Amino acid sequence: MSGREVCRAAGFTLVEIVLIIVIAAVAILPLSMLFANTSIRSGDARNATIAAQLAQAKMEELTADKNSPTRGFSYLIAANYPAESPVTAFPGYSRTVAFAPDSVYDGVTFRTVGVTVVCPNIPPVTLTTWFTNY
Amino acid sequence: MVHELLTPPRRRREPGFTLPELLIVIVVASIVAVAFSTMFIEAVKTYQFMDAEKDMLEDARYAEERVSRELKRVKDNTSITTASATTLAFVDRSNATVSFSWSGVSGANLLYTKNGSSQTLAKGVDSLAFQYWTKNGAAATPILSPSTTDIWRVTIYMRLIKGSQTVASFGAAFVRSL
Repeated sequence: MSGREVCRAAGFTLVEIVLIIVIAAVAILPLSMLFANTSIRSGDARNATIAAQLAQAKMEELTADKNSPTRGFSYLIAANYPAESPVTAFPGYSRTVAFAPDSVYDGVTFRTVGVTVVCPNIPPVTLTTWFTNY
Repeated sequence: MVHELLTPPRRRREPGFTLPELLIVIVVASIVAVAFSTMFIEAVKTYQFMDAEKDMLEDARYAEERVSRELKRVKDNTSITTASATTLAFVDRSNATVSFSWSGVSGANLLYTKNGSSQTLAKGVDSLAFQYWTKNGAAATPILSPSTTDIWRVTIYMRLIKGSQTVASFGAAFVRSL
C-alpha cells in the first residue's frame, strides 16, 4: 500500500451532495410556484362573476331607459352614461358604456351599445347589444 | 490467532449510528417537516378560503338571478305591496303573493316567500339594499299598491358574510309589466 492512499470513508462526496441539492431545488421550485399561483388566482372567479353582474345591471338600466316613456331611444347617448370608476359600492371595478354610430336597416335605426367592466387580474367583460328606434 | 490473543482487545466499532449522527438526522428531519407542514397548512387555508368564497358566490348569483327573474313576473303597476330597502312584496301574474325579505341582522338569510311558504335564497346576508328607480332614472321612495306605482326599475345590492370573508353582488331588473 502506498502512503498516499487515504482510507475512503463510506458516505457521499461533495459533488453528490451538490447534485442532490440542485435536483431537489429544481423539483421544489415549480411546486411552490403552483401553491403561490393558486392563492393569487383564487379571486378570479369572484371578480369575473361580479364583473358580469355589473355589466348585466347596466344593460338592464339601458333597456329600462330605452323603454321609458320619458327617456326613450334618443336618451341613449354617451353623455348620459359617463364612465364609472369605481362603480358605486364596488371598489376596483370600473364600468364604461360605448355607443357605435347608428346604422339603418329597412328603415329602422339600430344603435350598437357595449358595456365594459374592467377589474384587476381578469380580462375585461363586455356585453354588446342593439337597440332599435321603434 | 496468536496476534489477536496477545494484543489487548481493541474495542470493536459497533454497527449503528452514533449519537451526533442521530441528532443531526432529527434536526434535519424536523426542519424539513416544519417546512412541509407550513406549506400544507397554507394549502388547507387556501382551500377553506376558496370553499367559503365559492359557497357565497353560488348563493349570491342564485339570489340575484332569482330576484330579478321573479320581478319580471309582477302582475301590473298596482301589484307592488311592499318596497323597502330590505323587503319587496308583490302579486305575480299567477296571482301568487311573492316576497323577498331580510331581517336586517347581519348573518340572517334572504328569504323568498310564495303564498306563505318560505325558502332560503341566500345564507348569511351581511347587507342588503333594494333600490327603486323611476322612469326618469331617479332613486325614489316608491308609491305602493293600491295606487299606481312609480317603480320602473329595481336594483339589488347584497353582501354575504362567512367568518371574516365577504362577497358583494349586484343585480338589476327592469320590470316590464310596470
